[in-house]
Amino acid sequence: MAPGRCLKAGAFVFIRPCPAKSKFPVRQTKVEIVFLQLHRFLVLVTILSLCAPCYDSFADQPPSLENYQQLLANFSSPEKEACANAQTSWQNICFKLGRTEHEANRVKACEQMCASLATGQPLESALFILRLLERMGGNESVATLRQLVASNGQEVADGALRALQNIPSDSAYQALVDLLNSSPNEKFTINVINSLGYRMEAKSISTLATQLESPTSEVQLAAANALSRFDSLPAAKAIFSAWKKAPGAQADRLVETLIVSAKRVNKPGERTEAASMLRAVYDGSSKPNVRAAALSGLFSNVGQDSIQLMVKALNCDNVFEQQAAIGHVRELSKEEVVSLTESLPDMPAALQASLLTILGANRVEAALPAIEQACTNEHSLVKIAAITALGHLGSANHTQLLLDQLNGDDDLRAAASHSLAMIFDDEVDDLLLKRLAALKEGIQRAELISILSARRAPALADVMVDAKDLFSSDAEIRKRANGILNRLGTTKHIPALFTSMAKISATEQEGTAKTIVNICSRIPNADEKAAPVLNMYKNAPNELKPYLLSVAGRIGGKAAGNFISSKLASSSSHEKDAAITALCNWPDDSFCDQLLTIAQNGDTAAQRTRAIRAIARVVVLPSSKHSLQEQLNILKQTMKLATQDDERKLILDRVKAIGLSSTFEFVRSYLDSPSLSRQAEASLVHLARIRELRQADQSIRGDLERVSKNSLDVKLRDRAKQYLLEY
Amino acid sequence: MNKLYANRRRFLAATAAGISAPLYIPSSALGRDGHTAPSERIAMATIGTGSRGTSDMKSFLGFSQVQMVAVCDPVTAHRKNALEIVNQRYGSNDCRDYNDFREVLDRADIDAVMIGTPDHWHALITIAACRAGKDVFCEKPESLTVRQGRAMVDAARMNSRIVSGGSQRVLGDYGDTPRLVRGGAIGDVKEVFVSCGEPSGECYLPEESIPAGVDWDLWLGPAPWRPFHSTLLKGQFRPYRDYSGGGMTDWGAHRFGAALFATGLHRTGPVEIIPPNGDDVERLTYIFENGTRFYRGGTNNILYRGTEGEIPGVHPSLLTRVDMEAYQGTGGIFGDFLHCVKTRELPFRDIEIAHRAMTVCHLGNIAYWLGRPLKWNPETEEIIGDHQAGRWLDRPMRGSWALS
Repeated sequence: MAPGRCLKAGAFVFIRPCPAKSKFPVRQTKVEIVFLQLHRFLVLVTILSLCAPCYDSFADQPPSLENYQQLLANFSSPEKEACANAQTSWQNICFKLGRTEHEANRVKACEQMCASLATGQPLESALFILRLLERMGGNESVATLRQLVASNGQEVADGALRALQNIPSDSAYQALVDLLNSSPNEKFTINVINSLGYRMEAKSISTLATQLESPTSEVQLAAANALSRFDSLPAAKAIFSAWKKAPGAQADRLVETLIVSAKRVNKPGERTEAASMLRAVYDGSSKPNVRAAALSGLFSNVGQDSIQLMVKALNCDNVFEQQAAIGHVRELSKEEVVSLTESLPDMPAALQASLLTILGANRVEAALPAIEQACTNEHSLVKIAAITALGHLGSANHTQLLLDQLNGDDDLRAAASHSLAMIFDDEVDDLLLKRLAALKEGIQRAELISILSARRAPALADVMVDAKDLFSSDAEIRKRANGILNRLGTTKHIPALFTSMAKISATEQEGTAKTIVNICSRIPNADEKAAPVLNMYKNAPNELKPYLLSVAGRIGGKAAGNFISSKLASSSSHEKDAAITALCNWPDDSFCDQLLTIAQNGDTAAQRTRAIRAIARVVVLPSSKHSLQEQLNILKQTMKLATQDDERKLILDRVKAIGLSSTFEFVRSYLDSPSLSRQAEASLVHLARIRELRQADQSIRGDLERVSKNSLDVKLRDRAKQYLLEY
Repeated sequence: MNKLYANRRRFLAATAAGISAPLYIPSSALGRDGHTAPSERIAMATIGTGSRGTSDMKSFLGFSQVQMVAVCDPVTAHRKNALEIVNQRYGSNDCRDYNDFREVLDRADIDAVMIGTPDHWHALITIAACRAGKDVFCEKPESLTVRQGRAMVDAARMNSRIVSGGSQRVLGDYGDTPRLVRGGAIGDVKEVFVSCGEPSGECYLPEESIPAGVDWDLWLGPAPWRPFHSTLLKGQFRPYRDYSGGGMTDWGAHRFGAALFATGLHRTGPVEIIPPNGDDVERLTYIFENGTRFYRGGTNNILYRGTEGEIPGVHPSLLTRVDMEAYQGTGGIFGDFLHCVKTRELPFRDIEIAHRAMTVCHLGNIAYWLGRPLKWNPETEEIIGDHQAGRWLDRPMRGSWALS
């Protein structure tokens, strides 16, 4: 951890001025000065070397175990709060004891808990203690747990077994083996087998293997399942042997574990033998998914034959085997890919298509020559797959080939279009733009624009202006152009965007405004974000000025703020109104005070309403510069100014973002209002989700009780009840 | 038409003796795409039909290439409700309902399953489904423990199954942010602040009597026994450690997943995890090998701080495209899954990616619970030098339930 304190201590030593009386003469020689500094340096190093290892901001003294008996008394308390407090306290102590340096105390704590269990505890206490022992128990806990596993209570027995299962010690292992050997019934045997499987200790393989000899099929299956978790040839061989001896139905159940086990074998000298087991399964099983599972293991183990095996699988009737082969494509080496693609022409068209698709999707470069060849295949399925694959692997060199496909049928055109959009090579943009320049209108022009837009080609934004798409008489073309400028436009496009606003509908103007806001939001200097818009204002036609102001307000920034503020004092009521609109559009709460003034003293009701809604919108934004209490005060003030329920509801809704106890007071006062109670309930329950608030303020409980009983909203009632349960 | 898929339909029709094939679905019940031939349909089952499971099921019902043939839940009311929804959608009574997921997985005519159960069931059902030859869409949080997550990945790979996790928000909620961050719009990312809920804890709900129609033992499954409480059936199991990782995994699955993806760290993991200590460590901190730090907390959903700016915030623009993964097919994460079932490509939230995201959440929880830092090896997936903490990487299962 940060040796911050040590550094501070060292620095203090280092720079502390010499005491007034020094053993050195007042006028020190250079040598003496150097000696003094060296002395101080050595002191600093010593301090650091002493402090660094022991300064650990997470280290603490081992927690005290003194209160255990007191806490134990409440582990099953009918008072839920007392129970939760006791359990939480003890649990926190126990979790801390997991540190290596607290080992002695960990043992002590576990011994205490085991002693409690031995004397008998209520069920809830016992289960709680067992969960803790599961997490932190050691050798000291084994004897007690072993006894409890044999207890009459199923829940306790299960808890004890889980705990034993999770104790990584030899004594716990031995206890489990002993339990297995003395198992009273099949179910118990299976549970212990599962425990050994969970532990995955190599020494348990032989124990588990003997369980494969069990005459009970379920026990045998559990043992096989447990063994299959190991990367172990002996484990795989044991299962293989059991599988071969098992009758039909049981063999079918065992085979899945055999496959898993054989696949896990990973040591180089053992894989051949594991592969032979998989081969036996593959040749001997009639279940398609089983054969396929075995086959997928063989792919990795048969070396040069894997391609032949893959091709055979791809050509068979078993769709699972086909899927296994396709899944293996990801693992192929370059040489194997070349070998596989050489077999492509001999495969049915559908298979070729599937393979080309997956080779492309996995960006297997070695497959590119085969993909290029397949682009001229006479079978449309193959051709389309190859065209699609080029989207992942192609380059600018493939542009013309793909462009030619745009004249093809729908599927081919769609594939080519998609690939042209995807090829990650900037040169493709240039080639497409060149082609676009030659087209004035038509479907292909629209297609190319769509492709270039998907490619995010910056130059397309210029095309939208230069080629007058932005000013088209066709609304769809204008909309497309606006969308492209939204994503790719820069400040140089803003004048054209504003010009286009003059002749379009209000809905379209809104879209254009959003585009301008987005473009300006990309300007690095936050203060000057609105500069392109403000620069246009002076020379803009009057009918455009309100838009300019409104958009400037949406953009924000210091320059816009100053400009808009100056317009608030305008003698023109239109300009003033536009400035107010601009302030109401402001992206943060910088102008809250002005908005409050407008909400109170605005010339028109519409202005006052707009201001109220704007305050509600901005004051609780994450970027708010006001403290939570200030936010609440502002909303309270605004609430007093609101004249309509729509605004009041909005304020009540927004206030739920302010996580303070005093917010509850505010919201509570509206629970009795017929028109506002529903919103008040919703905000109250939303606030109540903050556990710290609930716990700090008991009066919230009363609010939740009221909502849980009286709210007309089922979901709110349920949520309120849930929070009440946590008290 | 994808012949690969067509082969499977014909093959299964020949071998699925005794299992009645669902009737033809009227084209009026299909989406705007129009009629989808029976041979191209993906037969699906929904396992876990509580609130979220049913919501996802409805999403899948909107795809014309899906045929929902089974629903399953140990709560009768939940599965009957889901059954009604499916049958209304198709105008038929061909969907069947089940109490036990194992019966669903035994059906050879089912191609894929959607898992919407509580978290403690996700691994077992996913692994069993993979071994039964089914592809899987598993809701987030995809796993309850680190080891369970890795077992899910192994099962998917060993059985050549498509397994998609269920965070639709990584690409859905965060707009252009992944592209900008990945593309370097804010330079090298140094810090990421991720907002998500609290870790889970103990459950102190009192006992209630088990109502008719609830198979409580099956609902609990591998989780430790505890008495019944109705709250747990209403999707409100999240705060409790035996079933979930709390808000850390609930929203963490989305937001840590998104942060990992945006920073290109989604195929690895942190090397150190430090919980807050009220002293010099203010927030849960993850340190990655490349020096990037993730923190839990902050006022934004996710805030990225780089050498050249912040997102959200003012940052240099990045107009051009970035080479990064995206959904395949159409229809968001659900469409991506269905596309990959057909083409066998790995889905956007492939189970390996989901597992990596969940591991970050789980490690954070362990650090919180134990109140001490952890050192982690993302390659071997082991906690270094702290055996007690290592015991938290997995959980023993109750009774006869076991991972394989």
